[in-house]
Amino acid sequence: MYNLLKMECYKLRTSKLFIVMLSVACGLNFIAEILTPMILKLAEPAAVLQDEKFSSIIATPLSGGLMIFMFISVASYYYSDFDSGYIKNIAGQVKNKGSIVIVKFITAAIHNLIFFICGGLAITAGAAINGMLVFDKDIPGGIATMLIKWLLSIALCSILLFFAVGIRSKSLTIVFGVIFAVSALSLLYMGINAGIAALIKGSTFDLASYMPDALLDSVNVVNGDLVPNALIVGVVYTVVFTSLTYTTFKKRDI
Amino acid sequence: MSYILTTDNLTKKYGTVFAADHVNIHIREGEIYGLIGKNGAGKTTIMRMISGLAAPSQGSFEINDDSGRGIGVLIESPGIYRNRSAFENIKIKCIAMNCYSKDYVNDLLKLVGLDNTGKKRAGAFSLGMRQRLGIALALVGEPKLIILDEPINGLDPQGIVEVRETLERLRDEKGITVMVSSHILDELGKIADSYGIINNGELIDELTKEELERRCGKYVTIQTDDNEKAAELISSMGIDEVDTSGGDVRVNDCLDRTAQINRMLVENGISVSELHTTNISLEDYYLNLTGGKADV
Repeated sequence: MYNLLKMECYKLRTSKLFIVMLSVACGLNFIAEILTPMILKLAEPAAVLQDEKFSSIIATPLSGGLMIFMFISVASYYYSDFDSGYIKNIAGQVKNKGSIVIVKFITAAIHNLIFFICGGLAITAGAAINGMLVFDKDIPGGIATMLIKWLLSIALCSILLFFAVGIRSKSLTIVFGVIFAVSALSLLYMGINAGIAALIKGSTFDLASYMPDALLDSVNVVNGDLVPNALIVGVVYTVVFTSLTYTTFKKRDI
Repeated sequence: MSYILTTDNLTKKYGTVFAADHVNIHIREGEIYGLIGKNGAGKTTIMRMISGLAAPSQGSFEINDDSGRGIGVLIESPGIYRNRSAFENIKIKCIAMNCYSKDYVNDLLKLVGLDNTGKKRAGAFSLGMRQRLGIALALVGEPKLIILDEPINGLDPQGIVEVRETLERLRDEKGITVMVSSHILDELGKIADSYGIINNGELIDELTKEELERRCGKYVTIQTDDNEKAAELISSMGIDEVDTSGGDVRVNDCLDRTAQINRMLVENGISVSELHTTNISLEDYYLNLTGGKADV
C-alpha cells in the first residue's frame, strides 16, 4: 500500500489540473485580498477598514466559490484512473483491491490540506502587503477551525469518492463537487427544516447542523459554534462513505 | 515443463448468459499460448478473470509464481494517461511496483520502439504506438506471465512484426510466459506454442503446436481399391505417417513425394482413383472445429 500511496502522491503533484486549480484558487485569494480594501476605499472614502486577523484567515482559507476549484480538482483526480483506463494496469496487480480506495482517500486528504494551507498563505500575503495583517490571540482557535473544516472537506470528498470509484459516475462526482463547494443544498435544508417545523410544532431541528457542506461554512472554534457536531459529522460521514466505497469497489468488476 | 497457469472450471455468468463456461486452461511456463475465438467467444472475459479485473462466478485459477512479480496485463484498449508522455505513464506504474529507475523506463521504451517519443503526449500517439505503450506497461516489474488481449490490433505490418519479435524475445531470452489472443490467426500461428480454442464461452480444444501440425498441416489423400496394401507399400518407402482410419489413405507431410507414391502404387497393381494434397492452416482447423464463418 505504501508504493500505491507513493504513486498516487506522484500523480497528484505532477497533475496539471491540480497545479492549475491550486494556482487559480490561491491567485484569486491573493488578488481579492489586495483589491478588496482598495475597492472599498474607492466606494466609501470615509470607511474605516478593519485589520485582518490571522486567526480569521486560517479559519477560512478558502471561502465561497473558491472551494469549487478544490472539489473539481479532487473529483477529476478520483475519476482519472477510470476515464483513462489506467486502473486496469494496477487493479489486477495488488493483493487487496480495496487498498486502492484507501490510498485515494489519503491522497485526497493531502490534496485538501495543500489547498487550505496555500489558500491561507495567499490571503496572508495579500493582507501583509496591504499592511492590514494582525497576529491576534485566537490563532490556536483559528488553526483548530481550519483542521475541523479540513475534516469536513475530507468527509465531503469521501462522498465524491463513493460516486467516482464506487458507483463510477463521472457526472455525479463533478456535479456534487460543485454543489458542495457552493453550499447549494442550504436552501434544501431550509425547506426541510420548515417542513419539519410545520409538522412538529415548536421544533428547532436544523438539518444544516448535521450536514458537512453546511457545517463547512458555519463551524468556528473561536466562537464555539457547532464544534461537536462538526467533529462527529466529519468522522461519521468519512467512515460510512469510505467503507461503502471500499466494499463496493472490491465487489465490482473493473 | 510445469504449468504456470491453470484454470479449474472457470466460469463467468451475466444473468443467464455464460460468458465463460467451465473453462479449463493449462499454460506451460515459458511458452506463448494463443487464445483463439470469434468476437464475443469469451476470450476477453477469461483474460479479465485471470488478470483480477473480474471476479469469476464459479471456478478458480492458479498462477504458479513464486517470484511475486505478479502478472502483466493489456486488456482491450491500453489504459494510458493521454495527457502524459510514454515515459511518465511507465514511471507511474514503476512507482506502484517499486521498480522505478530512469534507465529501466528507457529500456522498456526501447524494447517497444517508443524511445524517441520524448515529451510527446500519449494522446497524440497513433493507435499502434498506444498499443506498444500498453505492452510496455504490461512488462513493468518483469512479470513471469503477461496477458495480452489483441495486442496487434490496429498495428501496421511492420508494427505486427515488431510485436511478434518482441514476444518471441521475451519468451526466448527472459523466459516470460505469454497468453495472447488475436483475430489474426496467421500471426498467432507463427509464434504460439500452444492454442486454446474458445467458442460460445467454452474451451472446445486445447492443443500444442505439434498436435496442431499432426491434426492439420500438409498431407496427401489417396483413394485406392486396396487401402491396407497401399498403406503397407507406402510404409515400405520409409514413410511412417500413414493413416487408413478415415476410409482412404492419408499420408502426412510428404507433399514432395506425391509422384513417387503414385508411381509405387500403380507399379504394384494398386488402382488409384483419387489423389490430392491438402494444406490445412490454423484458420481452417479453427473453422472446421467451430463450424462457422471466419468472424475471428
